[in-house]
Amino acid sequence: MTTTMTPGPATAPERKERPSAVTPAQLQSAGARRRQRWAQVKLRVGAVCALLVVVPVVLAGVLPLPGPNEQDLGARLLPPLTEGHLFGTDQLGRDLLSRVLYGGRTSLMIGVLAILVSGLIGIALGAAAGFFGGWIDAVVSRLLEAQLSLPLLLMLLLVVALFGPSIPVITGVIAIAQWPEVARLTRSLVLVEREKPYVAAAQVLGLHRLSILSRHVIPNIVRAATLVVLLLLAQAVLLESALSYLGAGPERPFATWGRIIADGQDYITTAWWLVTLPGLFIVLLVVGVNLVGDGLRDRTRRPRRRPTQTKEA
Amino acid sequence: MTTAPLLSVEDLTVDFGAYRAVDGVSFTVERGHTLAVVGESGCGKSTIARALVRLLTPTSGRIVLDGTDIARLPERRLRPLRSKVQMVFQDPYGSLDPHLTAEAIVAEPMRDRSRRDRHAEAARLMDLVGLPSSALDRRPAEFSGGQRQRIGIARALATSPDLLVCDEATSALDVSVQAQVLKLLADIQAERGLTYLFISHNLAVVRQISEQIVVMRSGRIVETGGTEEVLHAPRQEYTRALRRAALDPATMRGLKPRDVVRNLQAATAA
Amino acid sequence: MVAPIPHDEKVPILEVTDFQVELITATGVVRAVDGVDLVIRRGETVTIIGESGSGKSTTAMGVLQLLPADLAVYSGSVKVGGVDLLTDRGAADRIRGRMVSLIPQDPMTALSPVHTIGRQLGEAVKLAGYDGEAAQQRSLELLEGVHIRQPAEQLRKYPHQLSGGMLQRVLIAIALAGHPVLLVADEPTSALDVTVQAGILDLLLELQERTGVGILMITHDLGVARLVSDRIHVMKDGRFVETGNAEAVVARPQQDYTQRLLAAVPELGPWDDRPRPETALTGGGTR
Repeated sequence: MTTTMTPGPATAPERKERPSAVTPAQLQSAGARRRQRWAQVKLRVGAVCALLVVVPVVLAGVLPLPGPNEQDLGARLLPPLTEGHLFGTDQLGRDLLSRVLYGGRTSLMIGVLAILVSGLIGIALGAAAGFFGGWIDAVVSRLLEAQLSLPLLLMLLLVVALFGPSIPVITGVIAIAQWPEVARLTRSLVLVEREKPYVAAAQVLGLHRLSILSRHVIPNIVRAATLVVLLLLAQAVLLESALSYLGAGPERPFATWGRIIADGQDYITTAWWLVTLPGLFIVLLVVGVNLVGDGLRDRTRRPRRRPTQTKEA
Repeated sequence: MTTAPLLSVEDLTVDFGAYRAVDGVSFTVERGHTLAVVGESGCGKSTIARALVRLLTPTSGRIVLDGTDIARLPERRLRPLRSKVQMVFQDPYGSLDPHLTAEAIVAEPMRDRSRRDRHAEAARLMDLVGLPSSALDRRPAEFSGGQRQRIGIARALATSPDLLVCDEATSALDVSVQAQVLKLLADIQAERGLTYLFISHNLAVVRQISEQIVVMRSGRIVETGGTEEVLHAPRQEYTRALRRAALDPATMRGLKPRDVVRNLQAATAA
Repeated sequence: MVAPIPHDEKVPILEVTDFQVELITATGVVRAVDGVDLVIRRGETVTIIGESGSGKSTTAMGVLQLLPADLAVYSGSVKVGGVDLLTDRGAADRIRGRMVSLIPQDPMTALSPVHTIGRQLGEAVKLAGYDGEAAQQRSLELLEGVHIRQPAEQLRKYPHQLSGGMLQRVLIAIALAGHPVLLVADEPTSALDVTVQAGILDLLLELQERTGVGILMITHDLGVARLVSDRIHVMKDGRFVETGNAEAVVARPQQDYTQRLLAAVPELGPWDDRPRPETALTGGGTR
């Protein structure tokens, strides 16, 4: 249908309801929908993987398992799926599943505590550096850079060698290893937010700078920052595993995953489960947490309410 | 008997390192009046606005607001005076904290009052700018650009200021929304006797809303006077150039009247 | 110099019929353009004017087929020189940058900051089929055609070294590299100062006078629309609510919406452009 355009007085074309040209196939393959679906998939798969690890670890005490340190020299190196030993046994006859679950408690606890500490320190220092600038930024940034330039694992081993492999020391050491990344991201986020007019408006209203930082800036960046902190949980667990594999991990009350792997490495060709199954737990947790983080980040938010209608714009 | 002007800016200079953004600018604004500051980008008008609300500290000069020179006061002594001069910002999308409700935004300067007082006052301010009180618990994302600008105005009025600095307050709005917001500002001025400093690059808007005008270029004042007079019969060549370049659809004759813009610039690219 | 464009007068440069653009977003299907018709012939400027959200930019991007394939669904017909872009899928890629060019909105961000002007203009010129020495010559010609002084020197510069107005002229030069018959200008002056804007609009009018190029102009500014257009379409919510000759739409708007829009534009009124005796800076401020 064409409307001929002739120069002259203004005209208005007639109105009619028009059918949509969007096919169901196009709806399915549209970018926005695909991204949404993908984010959902990642979230679900990640949650399942992570829960597969976390739930048994948390429930370790109530599951009908032999104790993790119970030796049974008559039942050494049994393969997985043997009667009474789902994951098999190690060279001292200890049930592997039980060791992995109880060890996991310590690993997870260290991981969670470490990211809590590194998260708090990182966000606080990063926000202060980004917002106030000046000497605070100079000090924090130089500390950040210095730490990032040190070889991480060697540094951690040194600290453990000096102060002993106890749980508080290991947690502290991992937290210290991780805070620079959180701080650096938070600093960037705050630098961007700081230039926005609503921050200037708060200043014009007469708020103190610290108030502006805590009441306006931090609440707006905290979501992005905590996402990074969540992703660091995986890194914390990996770091702890690396430390305990190298023999610098906590030994009491239970050997953690890295140590279990270290203990089993001599038998890698004869009793593969001693190394592979704890490793699998680590992989599941790390992949699960990372997928959950990705899914949360990519998830598109549906607007909860329709825009406000008023008679004036 | 003449009363002192509400705002008197004397020889204001603002340097950013070696770059002089504002170079010895002086003007006054009478209580209850509106002064427009116009010019192209880089002329220093926004810098003046930021200096007036002390978002930056001028290098030298005086800003005498209601008898007190606030130009270089330390923050501690400036803070109690900040309530007298507030700002309406250009960007409706960045000037409101996205995670707060409209009520929290508007009631922000009233932290020391009771919760009930704050709520009542916030509702009153929202009503003043033409927004329903049902909008109080909504977040900026649920409002249109014009509505957000109204919230920004309500927030600026919450401290009962004497002077409102509008920094391109309608430049980012659609023309029909702009008309509504300009009317709102005029109504509020009539009702409360507020004084406005209106920064803009749009001469037609400035004609509508101001009585006095200051034309700026490269940090200096080029021309001042009554708005109507300066826009109708500008004296300075630069003002004439600005005026010529302003496209007023109502005065154009014929199709594609190229003469309106021909040779407005010397034959170079901008 | 930019040569006049040979063109068959009987076939419109652009003929848009019943054009509809639907966008598939995460929250549903949005009908950004709801059935619009327009025609542009040689030497004509047709302007779509509207407020934010009206669909005017989407119309321009849709005509050029520049919207992401997994977002936009087109229907209707868009004929450039008689060829329907919606039925002939490869046609859009063939004509974009050649028969039809885009002049984008913000000159400060439309050019790559890490390449020189010469390099970016050169890319467009090479795409148009020039090589080596001829390409260099053509680049200089194009810059002269948009009234950039000392073009050889400017070719060596980076975008951050040029002002907004000069960058917009460079963008126009790039758009002209392929001898287009149609220019699509999406708010080409919104980001510029008013005196600079005047220069750019003058340039566009001059180019049209000289070469007969057609222009599809998108703007929210009624002054700009009135100045450069033969015809104006007023757009709201994806539809044209009023269409007509530029003079008629501005002087005698028929539709409610157009009347309200025009009423909302503040007036400057007539003025006296005679030089006055230069007094020292009119001092005294306010009285």
